[in-house]
Amino acid sequence: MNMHLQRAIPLTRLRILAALLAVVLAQLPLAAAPQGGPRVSARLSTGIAKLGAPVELVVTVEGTVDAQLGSLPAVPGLRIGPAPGASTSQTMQSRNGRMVVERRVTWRIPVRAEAIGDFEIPAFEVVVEGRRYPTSALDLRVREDLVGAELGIMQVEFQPTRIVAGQPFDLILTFGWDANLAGKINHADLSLPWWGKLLGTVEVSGTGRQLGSRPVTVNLNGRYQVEVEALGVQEVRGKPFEMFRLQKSYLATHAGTLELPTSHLEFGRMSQGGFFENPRPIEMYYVAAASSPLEVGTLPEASRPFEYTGAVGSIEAIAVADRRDVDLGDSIKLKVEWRGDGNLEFFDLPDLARLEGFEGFRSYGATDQLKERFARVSIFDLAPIDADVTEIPAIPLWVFDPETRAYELVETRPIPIRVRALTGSGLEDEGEVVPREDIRDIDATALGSGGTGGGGSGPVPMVPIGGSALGLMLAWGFVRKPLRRGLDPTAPLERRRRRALAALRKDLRQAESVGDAAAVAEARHAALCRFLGARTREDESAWVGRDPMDWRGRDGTHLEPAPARELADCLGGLERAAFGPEASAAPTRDDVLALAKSLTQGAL
Amino acid sequence: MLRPLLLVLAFFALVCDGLASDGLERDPSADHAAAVEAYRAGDHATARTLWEGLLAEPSLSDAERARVSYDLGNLAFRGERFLEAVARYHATIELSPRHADAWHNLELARSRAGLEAADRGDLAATIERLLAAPTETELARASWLLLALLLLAIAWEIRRGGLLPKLAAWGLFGLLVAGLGLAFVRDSNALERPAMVVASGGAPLRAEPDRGLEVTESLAPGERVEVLDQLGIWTRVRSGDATGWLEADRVLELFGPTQG
Repeated sequence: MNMHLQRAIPLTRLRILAALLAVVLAQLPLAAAPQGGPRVSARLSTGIAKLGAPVELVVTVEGTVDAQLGSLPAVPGLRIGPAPGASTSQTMQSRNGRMVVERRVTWRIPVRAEAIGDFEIPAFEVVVEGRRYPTSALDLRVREDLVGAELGIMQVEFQPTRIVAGQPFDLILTFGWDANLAGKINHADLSLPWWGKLLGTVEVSGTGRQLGSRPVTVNLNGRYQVEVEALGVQEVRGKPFEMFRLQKSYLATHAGTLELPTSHLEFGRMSQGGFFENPRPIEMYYVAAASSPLEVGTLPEASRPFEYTGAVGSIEAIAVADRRDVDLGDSIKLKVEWRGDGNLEFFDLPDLARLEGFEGFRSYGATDQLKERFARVSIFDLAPIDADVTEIPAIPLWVFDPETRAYELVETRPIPIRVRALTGSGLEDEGEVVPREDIRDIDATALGSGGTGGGGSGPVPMVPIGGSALGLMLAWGFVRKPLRRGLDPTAPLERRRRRALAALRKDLRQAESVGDAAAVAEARHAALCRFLGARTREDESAWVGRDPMDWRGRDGTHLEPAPARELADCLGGLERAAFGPEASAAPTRDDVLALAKSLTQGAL
Repeated sequence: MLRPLLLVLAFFALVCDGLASDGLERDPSADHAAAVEAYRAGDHATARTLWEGLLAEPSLSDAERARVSYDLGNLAFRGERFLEAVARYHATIELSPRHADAWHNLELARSRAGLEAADRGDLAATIERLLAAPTETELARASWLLLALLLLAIAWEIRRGGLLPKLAAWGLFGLLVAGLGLAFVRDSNALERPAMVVASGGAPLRAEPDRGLEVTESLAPGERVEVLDQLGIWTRVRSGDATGWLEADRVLELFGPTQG
């Protein structure tokens, strides 16, 4: 009865599940896309916007997820795009008893106004399932944020204002807001369309920030964060402003005009948000800043020195030698510090080996590094090879000065040195000498990264290792016999077989001193029987009275007739000598040994 | 309910502790890089201060300590303090016996200091250098390996028998005994706090730390001694059977005060 009940319950469950499945399957054929083809629409997040405020162009395609955006229109005064990735959604819902699947693709394209005015964004195409669908044209009115322009300030400037190709320049962005608002502003976002894509320039390392200035982090282009300097409260337009500065250094790579698109600052107050709520703007202001274009001139070809290596700007050089009293051939590290607002990072160092005045030196090259934005340190490795050298000559560098628009020579000061001739070498009076052997350089690789040589720590644990080894040897001595017996029961017989010849040799030696000739022959006979018993893994008594000619061929032994006969003769001879009257005719010890050896190498 | 909260608190406490200790710890790599930069820039005083500070770092491995000693040797050489350079290179070689650059520079420094070559080039010196070549760690690893091989050879001999496994077992045992013997001899001869006389005129040894007392022994430049004690500007050392006091600036402790 119980068993019947236990089986009935799963059957009931199965019936319920089957019924539910049938209901769901019955609904499936009814599920369908909404009537009609795909619908394309476009709208702006707002029809009227403040200058600088972000606006979104929302493009939606309903009824499919297979859609691509065509090229976005270009409208002077508006910056449209770039288009972000599309977001797709697919929902299924029941309408009047039918399952309806809704599919949708949406793009939210950023639009930023760069000028005031009424703009029309023309229709553009969206490709849906291979067909082109146009959007509708949209109107956007952009008005200046008068309050923002009053409460905020933003300026972009180049320093210097006129440069040549190869010269570094600073792009300084100054911005801020009314100091009376300081407690109310908790949001600032810089919109800098040129950030990271200033064509015709290379970014120079180092920000040039003032030492001791307080860094503040602000949003950049809505996605990133950047550190700016807080300049504190400054008076602008007769009012106190909380000011900030962002400075970037670039190097112009070629001549032309460098123009920046308009930059904007969004500042104001955002709600704090919470676990279930995103922060949202409460009060936002916008201020824009346009900059004058920067003219980048070319380096004059006329009067350019042959030794010119690309230095531009205002540069000075200071040289220091690590030692001034040296032996001939000794290494001197000459440190030259290049300072100034020139393109320190980008010019090539002068080649000392080709410079006049350095004939008395051997140059082993130079290493250098940019220590900061305005200082580069080069270390030249020199060795005097002439005892008459009295100074390290000045190192010249041709620099183009944009102020005077002329090439100027910058030189280090000569450094007096004393070079001692090598005594006893016989080369004191020679003009050219072989450089003296010097120590190898320091190990400059970072600690923890290997470097030259091995090493390690930890003494040898002599007691555990030695004790273990000794224990192993002792255990080997004591345990091997029982273990080997346990592993191979025939081992003693095999060992006896292996040692048979050595044992025979010993027995025969002992047999020589047992007494008269008959006794010696008997002892030899017994020794030979022991040998034969050991080799055939039998008891020695098995060979007493055995005829080798009969035995031959039995037990898998392949003893040839000749050695078998020889063995029979030897055994018979020994027996006769031991127990008969022919003692003098007994085989000698050497005969027995020779026979045993030949048997060992043969069938036995 | 309380347990997850306690676990979270414990995790944060650990993280905070880690951050705090990270903030307080010195970064030997940064110090080394700064010392290298200072050396390259000719600022030998800064480089020396930084490298000597690194030698006092207990967290440095022997290999890293060897490299810092080597760099200090070069610094001393460039400053024409050749005996100090000799001491630094000896320290490097003791920590890293196969440091080829240190051997090269040591010979040059010894030559400039007027000392005889460390490697005389004869058979005895070659064998001595060969025996000194493995580090303690390498000896320890080799000993463990030989012990494992010995175990295998014995197992082989028990299983199969024969002359070859027996010879292998005895050979391995012999090698192991030789290695342990070498380690024992090196350990017996090692000084607890080795130092070297770096004063060019040698160092007079006195019975007590007093310049007015007579000199009992005179230590030659480059002579190895063992530091026993320190008292102000005086250091008590042992050289062979002689023990006495000498001025601390006349000797250089090879591994610094933190190294035993």
